[in-house]
Amino acid sequence: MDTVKIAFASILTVLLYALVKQLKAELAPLVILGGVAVIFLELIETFASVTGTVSDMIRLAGMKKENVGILIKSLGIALVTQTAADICRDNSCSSVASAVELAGRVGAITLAMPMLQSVASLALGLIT
Amino acid sequence: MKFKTLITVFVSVTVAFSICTQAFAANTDEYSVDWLEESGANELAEYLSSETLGYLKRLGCEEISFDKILTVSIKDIFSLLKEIILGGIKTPLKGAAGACGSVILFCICSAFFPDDDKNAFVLNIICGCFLIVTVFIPAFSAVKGAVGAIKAVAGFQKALIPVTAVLLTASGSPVSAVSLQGAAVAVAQATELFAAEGAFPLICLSGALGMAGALFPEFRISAISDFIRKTVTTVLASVSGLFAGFLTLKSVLSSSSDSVAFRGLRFAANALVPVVGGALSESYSSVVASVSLLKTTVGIYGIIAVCATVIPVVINLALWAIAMRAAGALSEFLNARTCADILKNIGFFFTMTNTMLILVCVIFVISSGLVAAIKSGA
Repeated sequence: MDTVKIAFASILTVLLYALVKQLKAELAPLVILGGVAVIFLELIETFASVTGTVSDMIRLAGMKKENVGILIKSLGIALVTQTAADICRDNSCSSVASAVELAGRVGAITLAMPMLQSVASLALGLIT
Repeated sequence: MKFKTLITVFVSVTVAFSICTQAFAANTDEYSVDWLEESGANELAEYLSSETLGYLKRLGCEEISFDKILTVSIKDIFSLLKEIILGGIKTPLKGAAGACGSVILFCICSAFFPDDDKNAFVLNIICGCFLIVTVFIPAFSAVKGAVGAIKAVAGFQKALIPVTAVLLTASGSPVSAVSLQGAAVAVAQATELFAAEGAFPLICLSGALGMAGALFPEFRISAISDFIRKTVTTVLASVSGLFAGFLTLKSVLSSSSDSVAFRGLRFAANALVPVVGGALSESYSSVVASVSLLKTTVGIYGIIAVCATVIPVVINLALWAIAMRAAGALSEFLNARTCADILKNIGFFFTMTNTMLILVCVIFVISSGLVAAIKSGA
C-alpha cells in the first residue's frame, strides 16, 4: 500500500470536489465517489498482496478458513457501508445514511448466520 | 511284659498320630488365585477401557498382585505422567493459538471502528461467535471425555463393590461388608446421578449463560452465571465433606462391631475346642490376615485403575484451562473485554468440569481406601 499515493488522491479529490462544487454543484458527489473508489481499489490491491501471509497465519492458528472469511467479509461490509453512510451524510442525506448503515448491519449478521447457528446449537447442546 | 509294653507304645503312637493335625506351609499364590477367582476380582479389568489397561500395563499393574503393585516405582509414574502431558498438550496449545489469533482479529476489527458503537456492537457479536466456534467446539471433546470418565469410574465402582464385600466378609469383617457395601452402592449411584444430572448440566448452563453474557454485556446475564457457579462450588464442597464424614463414621462403627465378633469367635474357639482350640484360633487369624492382604491389594488396584482412568482426562482439562487463561490474559492486555470474558467463561467451564471429575475420583479413592484400611477383624 502506498500511503503517500492515497494521501495525494484524497487531497486531489477534496480539491476537485471544491472546484466542481463551485462550477456544477450537482456533480460534486460524483467526484467524491470517484476518489473513494480509487482509494478502495488501492486498498484491495494491498489486501490481495497480504492474502498469502494471512492464510499461513490462519493455518498456523488452527482457525477455519470459512469462519475467518465470514469475519473479514463482515468487516468489509461494515467499512463499505460506513463510507457510503459518511458520503450520504456529507450530502445532507442522513436518512439514506441510516438506511445504508442498517443494511450493512443486517448484511453482516446474515453473513455470520452459519456461525451464529453453530453457537446456538452448541449452547442448546450444553443446556439440554 | 515286653509284649504289653510294645502294645501300649504302639497304641499310644497310633492314637497320637490319628488325632494330630497335619501342618505344612500353604501355597499362598494358589490360595490368592482361588480367592481372586471366587470373589470376581479377576473380571474387574473388563470394566476398564483399553487406554486405561495400557497405562496399567506400563506401570506393571495389569494384574491384581501385591508383588506387582509393590514394584511400581515413582520413576515409572512420572515418566507416564510426562508422556500423558506431552501427548495431550498439542490440542490445548492449538486451541490457545486459535484463541490468540481470534483475539488479534477481534482487535483489528475493533480498531476500524473506534467511535462507531453500532458497527462495533455487530462486529463484537460476530467476533465473539467466531471465538466460540474456533476455540470451544474443538475443546468440547475434552469435556465429553470427562463425562465418559465419570461414567467409567461409576461403572468400575459398581463392579468393585461386590468384590470387596466378598473379601471383607472372608477377612472377618461381615458387618463392615454389609454396612459399607450399602453405603458404597448408595454413594456410587448418588455420585453418578449428581455428576450427570445435577452438577454437569448446571456447569454447562452457567458456561452458556456466561458466554451469552460476554456477548451481550447490556443484559447482565453474567450475574445468573456467577450465581450458578457459586452454588455448584458450594454444593460440590459440601457433598465431598459430607461423604467423607459419613463413610469414616460408618467404617469406624462397623469395624468396632467386627472387632467384637472376631474376638468373640477366637475366644469361643479357644475355650470350647479342647487341645487344638488355640491352634484353630491362630489359624483362623492367619486366614483372615491373608484374605485381608488380598482385600487391600484389590482396593489399591481399584484406586490405581481409577487414577489411570481419570488422570489423563484431568491433565487434558487442566491444560485446556491453562491455555484459555493464557489467551484471556492476552485479551486483557489488548483491552478486548468481550474476548477476555468469553475466554474466562470457557476456562471456568474446564475448571469446574475438572473439579467435578476430581471429586468423583476422590470419593472413590476415599471409599476404597477406607475399605482397604479396615483391619481384619480389627
